[in-house]
Amino acid sequence: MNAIVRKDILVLRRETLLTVLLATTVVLVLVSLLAGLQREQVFAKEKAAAEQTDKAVWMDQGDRNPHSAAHFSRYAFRPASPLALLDPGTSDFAGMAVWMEAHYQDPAVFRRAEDGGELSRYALLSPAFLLLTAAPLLIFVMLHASVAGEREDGTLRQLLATGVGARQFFSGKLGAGWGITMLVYTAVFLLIAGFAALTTPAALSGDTALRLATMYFVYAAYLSIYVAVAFAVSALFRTRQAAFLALAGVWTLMVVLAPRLGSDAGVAVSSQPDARAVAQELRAASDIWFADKERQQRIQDELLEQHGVSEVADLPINYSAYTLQVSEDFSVPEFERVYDGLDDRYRAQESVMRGFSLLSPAIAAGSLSRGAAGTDRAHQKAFTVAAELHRREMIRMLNEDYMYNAGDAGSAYTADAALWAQFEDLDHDLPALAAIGGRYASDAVLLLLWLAASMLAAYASVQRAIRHEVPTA
Amino acid sequence: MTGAILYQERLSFVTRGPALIAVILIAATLIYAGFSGDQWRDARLQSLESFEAEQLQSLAEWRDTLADIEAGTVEPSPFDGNPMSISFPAVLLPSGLGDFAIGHADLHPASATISPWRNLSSVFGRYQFDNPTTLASSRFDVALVIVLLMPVLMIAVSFDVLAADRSRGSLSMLMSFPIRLPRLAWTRLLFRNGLLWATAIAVMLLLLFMNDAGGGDRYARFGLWLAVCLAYAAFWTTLIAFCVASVRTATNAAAALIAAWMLITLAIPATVATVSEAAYPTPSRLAFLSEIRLAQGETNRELADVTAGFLLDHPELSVGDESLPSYFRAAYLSNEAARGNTRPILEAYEAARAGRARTLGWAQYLSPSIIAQRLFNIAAGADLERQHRFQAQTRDALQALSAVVGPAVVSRNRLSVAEFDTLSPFRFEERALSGMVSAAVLPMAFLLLASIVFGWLAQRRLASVRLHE
Repeated sequence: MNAIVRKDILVLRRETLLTVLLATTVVLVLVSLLAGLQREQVFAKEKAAAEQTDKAVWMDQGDRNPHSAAHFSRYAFRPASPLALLDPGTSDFAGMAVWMEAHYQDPAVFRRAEDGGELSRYALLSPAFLLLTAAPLLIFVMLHASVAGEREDGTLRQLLATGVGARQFFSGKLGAGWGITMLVYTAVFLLIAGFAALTTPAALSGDTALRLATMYFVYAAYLSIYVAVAFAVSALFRTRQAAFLALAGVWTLMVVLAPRLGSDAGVAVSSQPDARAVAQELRAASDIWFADKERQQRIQDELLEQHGVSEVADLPINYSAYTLQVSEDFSVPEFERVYDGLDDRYRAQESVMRGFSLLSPAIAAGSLSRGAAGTDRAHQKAFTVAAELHRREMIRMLNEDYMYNAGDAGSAYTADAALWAQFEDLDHDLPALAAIGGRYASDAVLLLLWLAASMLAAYASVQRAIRHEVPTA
Repeated sequence: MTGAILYQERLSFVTRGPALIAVILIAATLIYAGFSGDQWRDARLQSLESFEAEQLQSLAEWRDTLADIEAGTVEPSPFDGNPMSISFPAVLLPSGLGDFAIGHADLHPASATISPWRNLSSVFGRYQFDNPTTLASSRFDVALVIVLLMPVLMIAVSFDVLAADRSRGSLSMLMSFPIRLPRLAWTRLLFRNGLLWATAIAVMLLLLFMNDAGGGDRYARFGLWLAVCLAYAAFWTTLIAFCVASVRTATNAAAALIAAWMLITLAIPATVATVSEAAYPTPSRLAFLSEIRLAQGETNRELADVTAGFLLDHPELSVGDESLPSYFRAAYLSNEAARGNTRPILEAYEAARAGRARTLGWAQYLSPSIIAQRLFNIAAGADLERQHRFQAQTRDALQALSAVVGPAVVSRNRLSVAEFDTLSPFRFEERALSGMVSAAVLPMAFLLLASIVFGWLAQRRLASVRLHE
């Protein structure tokens, strides 16, 4: 077996163009890291500047009715993930700021992808993209002839004639291919991790280390699958050309087609929401109190009874401010219904996508990678939920100030910077991976199933090839 | 002798399966991409047309109210027929060939509400409700199949046109026949790749007529599309010929071609995109937001002074219905202030975009895939420039409306029906076909020139290989 491993490694080392290909990939990884770093640094500066301006505008708004201030309100800005330079994931396609205005739960707006250039949707260079897309192709180029080449040259029969068994042949071939792949991958990943550690040292934490380790094992499993697939397919054919063509087809299907097919099928089964319809639903949710005169009267009667008075003017609180807060409380479940509906729609799309994992491990690996990098929809949702909770609290504080302090001034009541200063910025960090890891279990299981199935397929395919070459074997 | 080579190709290539796999792959992917694009375009059209119809209906009702007020047949409230309620729809419909490439069209806003209530940021409404996970995958369209997949399949069917015979030792035997190596190689290459491209073009023609969006515009755009396909096919065929003539073993030929593919279709476009975006960064959207917020804050704080200033600039105005809430004029004035504040940012946007366009103008010659992708997007109306043009035209229309209604809003008066009728509904000014063609001429000429150079180099190499053999 060791001889097979040594021979295969020697053959692969002699293929100078493979070395060039590998070197090109490493250069691309470096370029992608630099590009990622530049993007993230720019984003960090923009976010800091916007936060500063937003706070300054809020503080400088002058004396104002608190509810008027609630309409002006503030913005919440999404925190950056320290590993976004490795896998920007879906973060560029999700809004990075949420307006926390009164009466309305806004979606996150300002998607960075909209500022991209003409080529930005066609090619986005990132280490994750290279590992998910280019690395499998590299493996296929490297290993397409591993068994088919031996069969085409007639050396498989010679090898078997020396007494090498199917298991030894398989282990030797797989050992060489997998060993080289893992060696190169580990070196490249260490380069990536080292770069991340050097350029964003402040972000390094136990959680970041766990996320990095998760990414390492996800891609190790992912690339191992393609090593096994390369053997399985190579052993099915008698010529290099047929094996390479088949592997090109497999790569096309597994890496290029399946993820996009999954995404398209997801959208076909559960269409993208009609933005206008969603905006109308949100508007209706916002107006639910104002549109229901009967309910308004009931609430007023209850409040009058509670305070033992018969006129609104006799209430110890400002009734308008009270109703403003009640309207917020009534709208909350309606907003939740609309956004839960959107979430259900997204989950349905993603379930269909996940179903396409049967065609390709790239879907599960991509999902795990984005999750580990903190750049997937789950992390985006954690941000928008935190922003909404912050909005509710902020609006409540403003309404209550108006309610309890307006006195005889009524709607002419104004608050000043002393009140504005009481509002903290939204302090939202990425959720810890250990705390939310469970939601990625199905993707992890799918990836492991793929690994097991591809190994079994490779072994069965090699055995079949040996039987074809030496029918008595 | 060419007939004999083709006969052998039919035996070894077509009937043994590899060609069938490649043809099925290309046909299946193109058919799927075409129908997926058609589904997207139909949904987009339906949504935009219904939005436009609803908005125009509301506008017509608003005009009727104004006419009634003017005729004195109704007793209006301060809110009835108010100029702030004028709202024109603006839509960017998919182009005639919009099902072939989706490009940037699913990311950017395709509709807007041109109303004095809206500012430069909110004119496009809340449209960011798409699932970012599916949005990030980008759509599987016909352009992607041609730009990305076709070269892989061409490489897969061509990388061993000579190396297979070399490794079997049959090349020398073939050369003992009255046949020259260049003819053998070219015949095989053209046969195999011609089969792939004939399939692709046949399927695209099928899509052209089945996904019928109608009109000569679709066919004219498809003409440009087809010309790009042929130039792109010529480039890859000659590049493959050069590689197989230069590299002796099948594995090395495959590796060299895959390296070229990675470089041309992935590495260079991604690097060009990264470099041009780094060299010409657009101003931050967050900075844009901050300027709008600053303007709103200042206007709200100084509303009385700002209003007085406006009225001083328009001494002809007499103040109308004072019962109208002040937030009407506050909204208008803060939007005007926001326009002034954000003008430098929008100019910086334009400068950055112009810089990127200049960079792409020359950098496209580094990669034929950039040329093809760019021209496909232009032909299908899915290019970024079209999205930006829609946004710029929408902002211009908003400014034009604000200029007309502004004096009436601030002085709390109504427009007359005659004044309203001078306003024109938004109509997107599409780039003329001649503009698209002129944008394509130089890049296409470059692709053809590159094909001639690689073809000539391949021919020279093949001729020298023959002597060696």
